Amino acid sequence: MRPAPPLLILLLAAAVFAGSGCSKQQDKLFANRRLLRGEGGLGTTTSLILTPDRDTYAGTAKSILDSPALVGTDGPLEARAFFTSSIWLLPPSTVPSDSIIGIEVQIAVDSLSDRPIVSSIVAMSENAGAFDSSKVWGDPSGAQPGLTLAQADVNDPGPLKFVLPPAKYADIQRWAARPDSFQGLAFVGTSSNALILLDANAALMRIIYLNRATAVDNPDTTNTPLRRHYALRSPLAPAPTGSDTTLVLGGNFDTGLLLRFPPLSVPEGSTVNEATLRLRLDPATTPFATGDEVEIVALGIKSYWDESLTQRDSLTFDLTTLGIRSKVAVSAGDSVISVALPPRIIREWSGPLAVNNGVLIQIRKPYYTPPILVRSRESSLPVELRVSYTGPPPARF
Amino acid sequence: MGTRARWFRFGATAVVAAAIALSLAAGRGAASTVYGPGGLGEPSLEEGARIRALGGAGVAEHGPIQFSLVNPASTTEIRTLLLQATILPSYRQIDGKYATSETASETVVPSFRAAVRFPLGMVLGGAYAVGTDARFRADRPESAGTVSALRIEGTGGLQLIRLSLAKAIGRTTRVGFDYEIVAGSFREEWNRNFADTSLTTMSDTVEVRYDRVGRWRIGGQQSLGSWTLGGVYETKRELPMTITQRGAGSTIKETGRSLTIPDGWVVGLSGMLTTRLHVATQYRRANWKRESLQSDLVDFRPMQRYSFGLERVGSSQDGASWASRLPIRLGVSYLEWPDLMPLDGETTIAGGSAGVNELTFSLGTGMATQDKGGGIDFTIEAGKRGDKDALGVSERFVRAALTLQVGDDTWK
Repeated sequence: MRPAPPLLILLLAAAVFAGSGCSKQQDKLFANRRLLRGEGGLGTTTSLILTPDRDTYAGTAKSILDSPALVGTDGPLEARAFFTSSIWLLPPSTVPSDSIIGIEVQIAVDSLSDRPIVSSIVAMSENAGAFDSSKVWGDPSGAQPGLTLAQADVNDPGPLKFVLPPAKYADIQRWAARPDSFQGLAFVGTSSNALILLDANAALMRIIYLNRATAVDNPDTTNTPLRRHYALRSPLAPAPTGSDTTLVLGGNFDTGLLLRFPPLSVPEGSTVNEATLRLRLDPATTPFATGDEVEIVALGIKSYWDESLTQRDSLTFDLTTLGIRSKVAVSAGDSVISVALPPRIIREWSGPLAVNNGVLIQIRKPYYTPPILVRSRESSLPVELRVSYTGPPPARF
Repeated sequence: MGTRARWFRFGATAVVAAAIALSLAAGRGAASTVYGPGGLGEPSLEEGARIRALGGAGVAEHGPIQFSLVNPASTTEIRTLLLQATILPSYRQIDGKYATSETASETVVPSFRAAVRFPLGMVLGGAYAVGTDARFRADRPESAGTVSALRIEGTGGLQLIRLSLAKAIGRTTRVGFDYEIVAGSFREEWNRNFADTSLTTMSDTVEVRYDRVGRWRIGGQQSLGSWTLGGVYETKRELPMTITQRGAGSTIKETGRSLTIPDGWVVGLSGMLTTRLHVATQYRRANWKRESLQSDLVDFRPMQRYSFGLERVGSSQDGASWASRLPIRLGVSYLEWPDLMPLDGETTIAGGSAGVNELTFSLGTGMATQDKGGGIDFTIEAGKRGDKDALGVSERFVRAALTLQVGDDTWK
């Protein structure tokens, strides 16, 4: 069977042209020659560097509600921790008091922290004030350590063990009967320059008793997790003056940087391509130990502040984080840490109705590394905000 | 193998080939013309391959399968149902004033159409046609400010949706109406990648939308012997426009301007010079002017297209060779685009403007199905557009139009 010649010609032509018509190259040179529409060009990208018009650093008097809980002292810093439980687990009521053979409170030391290599004592007492995490350090209506009940040495292996006499069982029975009447246990460090980080999620009270229900007396235990806890820290010292040449970020005082940049007028229709914060490090910054890293968090500040601020607790912040920079390590010779902010923040800080109170930079759980020293606007190398924006493309008509 | 079987095989294979070609074409086109970034885009000829081969002179064409998309009156002789679709692969060579040339290729679907005959000789039709094609793609290294690489992709243009009603009055007079909805929009995506990775890639858009309203087109044909005079009048319609420039977190919206689709008219004459030599002529005009769209970036003039075509009709005699059965069509057209664009080096029309003129030569052929209710037509067009001295660039192009037409009898 021989195909008809016209059919062959038409199909061949169709195949050749349908295939060859598929786009394989753009107009690299010339199509864009006709794109220069209007005086605005194709949209120019402008890069600027802003320096703060206000900066300082501030601590926090708020209780530490998560783990680790700080206890002890470190230079001017003093910290105390408080633990309790809403429910206390007791031996069966059939167990007489003379069957209680041991009571101890155990709290693990945070596994990520450096354990003191010399003897460092932590004393445990009944809280003589109110178990109230909203009260700040020094508030007489807040928690207060009482008479020491037991001590533990951080230098001993394993968790801290605070041993109580069996006679304390009667008190524990009262706590169990009326949990609200008990204001918890207070932990303070008694050794100088020994700050201990407790694993607040690994605290319990253990009661050891003899179970006489069996033919042979077998020791048995009840464990009550101490799930309610907080720690208090003394105010930031020395307090920032507002004109320091170095800003302190992180450390045991958990200081945060407050930075405010002058508003920038981004032309209407422009796209902001970059808003990068460049924290320029003071050479005195102690490098992190090998493998240590922190997470830097940026929060938008919603309320006014000035450089006389020493505690940031009165400020309000954006609910959503502006930016996070994970796995930040400081090595010897490092000079800059960059934190990318969302470009939208530049618009939020600009314009006639803009609210521009700057940004708070803080470290999440800053206790494991030395503080990062950042140069202030009073120094020769202040923090920079690098901003780039691009003008709108030209109109079609 | 008998003639009927061969024709059947031709019809079936042609349908398959056209379907493959259409599927290849869909979405593959990138740019239509180097002038795409400005004005309304390339004025598209909506006709099928046969009339394209006649230089676009279709306003006076009529017959069971020889209708024109320009003139709604031309469909009155459709027997039952007819479907028509066209694809248009093209290859372009672009010459610049100061640089070497470059090439580009793409495929577009300029039109498809359906028409069905109802009782009392009424023919109802629907068609999609590209009015102007503003697609383009450009890559450009940009050094204004921070260094970046730009890719701009433009899409859209004026797209036309036509609902038609036609009827013959007696044996020699045909009338038809189109209600034409001007659809589509202009959209450009500007993607910018920075060499500095700390700068986020940006994607801005420029969009021009207009109200999708319709206008009327009225067509008629009058035959006298083997000659037919055809004409169409198109009404004017104003389309309010919204222009939106959108960047990340920022939008500029402009309203208040409008695009006026102007009135226009088409007139033409078709007839037989000899028993096998068909001639078709046409003049088409749309009265674009400065007031059609107020802009500093483009001015307008009337769009005019002059068309002329000759067709050696294929022999229908039994025993004729296949070469003799094939129609041979030759055509030429001269088109003046409505857009007057800024001169080369100028960014607005304040510094002067120039239009794009396009001269096209065409050569085509085709085959009808056994039942004469469908067929396939093929045309090669070659031409040149634009003035390199005035606009900085000019284009030469070769394109092939492939039109598939099927009637309900074609499938039997």
